Amino acid sequence: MAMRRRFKASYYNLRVASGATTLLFNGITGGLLRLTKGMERDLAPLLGSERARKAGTGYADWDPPRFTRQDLPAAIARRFDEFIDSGIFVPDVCDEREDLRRSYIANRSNAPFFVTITTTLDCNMRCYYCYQKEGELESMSPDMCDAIAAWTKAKIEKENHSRLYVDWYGGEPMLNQAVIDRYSDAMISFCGERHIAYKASMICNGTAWPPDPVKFVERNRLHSIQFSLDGPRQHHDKRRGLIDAKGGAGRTASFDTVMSTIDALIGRTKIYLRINVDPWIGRDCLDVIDACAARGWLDPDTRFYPYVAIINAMTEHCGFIAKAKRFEEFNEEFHGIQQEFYERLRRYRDEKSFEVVQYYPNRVMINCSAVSNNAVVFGPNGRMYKCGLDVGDQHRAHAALNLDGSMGPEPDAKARMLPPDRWDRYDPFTHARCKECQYLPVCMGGCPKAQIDRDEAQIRMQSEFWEKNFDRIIREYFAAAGGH
Amino acid sequence: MAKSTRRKASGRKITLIQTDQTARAVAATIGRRKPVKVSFFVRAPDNVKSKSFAVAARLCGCRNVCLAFVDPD
Repeated sequence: MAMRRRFKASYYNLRVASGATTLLFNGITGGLLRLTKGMERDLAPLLGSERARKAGTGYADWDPPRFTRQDLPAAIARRFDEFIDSGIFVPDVCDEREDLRRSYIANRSNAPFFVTITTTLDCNMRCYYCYQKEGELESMSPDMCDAIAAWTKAKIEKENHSRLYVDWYGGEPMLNQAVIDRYSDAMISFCGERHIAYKASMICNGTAWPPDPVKFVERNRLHSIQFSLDGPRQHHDKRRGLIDAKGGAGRTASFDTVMSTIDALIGRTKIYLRINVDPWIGRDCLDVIDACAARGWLDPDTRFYPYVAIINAMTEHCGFIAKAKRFEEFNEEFHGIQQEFYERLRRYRDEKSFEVVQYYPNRVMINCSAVSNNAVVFGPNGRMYKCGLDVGDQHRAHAALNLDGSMGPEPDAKARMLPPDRWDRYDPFTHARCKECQYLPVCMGGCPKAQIDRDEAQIRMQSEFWEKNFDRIIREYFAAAGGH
Repeated sequence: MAKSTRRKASGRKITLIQTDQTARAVAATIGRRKPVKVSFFVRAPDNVKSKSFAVAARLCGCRNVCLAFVDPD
């Protein structure tokens, strides 16, 4: 007689009560199931004990009951294949964490070829929370742009990449449009001749666009653009005013300029609107939704995705934020504001928007392009980094491209303090807490820079985020999906 | 079969029936009203064996730190 296959519940299942309904989430597949009362009752003994929402513990102790298909109550057996597809049940011999680890290693190798180019470190704003180092604000030269294009072409040919993704970054990237046009022109032709897919994106402040923004987007194949606002006009204009290029005092308001740029581009490319929130902007960020709705940006098919982001200490250059008590207290408050933001957004948008802005806890293939084997960030002078937040801190570069295409110079003493392979060696599966954590598939250790730099405050924030917000986000998604 | 009644934002009253019966069997018990089947999946699972970096499983999963969404879709 053939042996009956045995199964067990996934460690990465999480049950969330939403009113009278129980939702069952699985972190490996991102599936979310609505259980009937009867099903919930029948499933309960199979799912193993309920866990607290704590991050960083649990896998080693996970020992749910084993069962065969024939052991199941009729209502569960009828949907057995769906439970398997959802990752709710797995074969009892399955080591889910080991499968995740293998997939993570493969994803790091198979990730798309991704080139981020910092056109300049200069910016026409001086935000108080800027994470970039002050000082020499270099701009990329046409010659360096050509050297990077030649490097990209050689890399595509050598490694046989079928897709190229380019991200334009700064400073304010639009202060050096000539480089964007030059590189895009070269690479779009190159990729076109070889049937290689080409897509570009940009992170910019929305204030330095040419008179015909649509033409610029089309010729440079900008598939998505991220703009930023510091809340509504009264806050934004105070913080993100334009500086006088000639060094004069005072700032020029920029809120209307950013809004006009978005207006011109709405529906023509995918737009993310990052709405920065700090303790003083607070709940006022909600007003931005109404401003967007009034302009028709939240109509269907606009491909416009607003989201809120807390202003925090992203690098040591804005480290004062991590030390300020008011900011620390605000972390908790921000979660409530974020909840209100998405509740209000639900008036206009369904649950799919929650996924596009990564609010829903989707499975993370790689936690950051910095740990992909196929991604690089170029500084304006050809220095090569893995993380965009490091650009400008030259000792953090792992390599450098010279104008003639050669690599060098040799790293100086400060740079030698940082192992160049630190990103390659990053592995959440060796991390004492991450490897045990029930949120591992949807987090993968969060920001690798925080882990590599041992930024304990940031790491703690990441754990707390899941502990305090996971259930709420699932409920909000369910409500946005029309759940009752 | 468990029943509960809710009122939608539009003011319309709806009755939720949680059951393992087929939609046809339920329809036979509720007279003229037409049942609408509510899906088992609030969100369908991703195909974890897929090699593509789709919207549902994108490259950059860092939500709280950096500026950018890496958006290769």
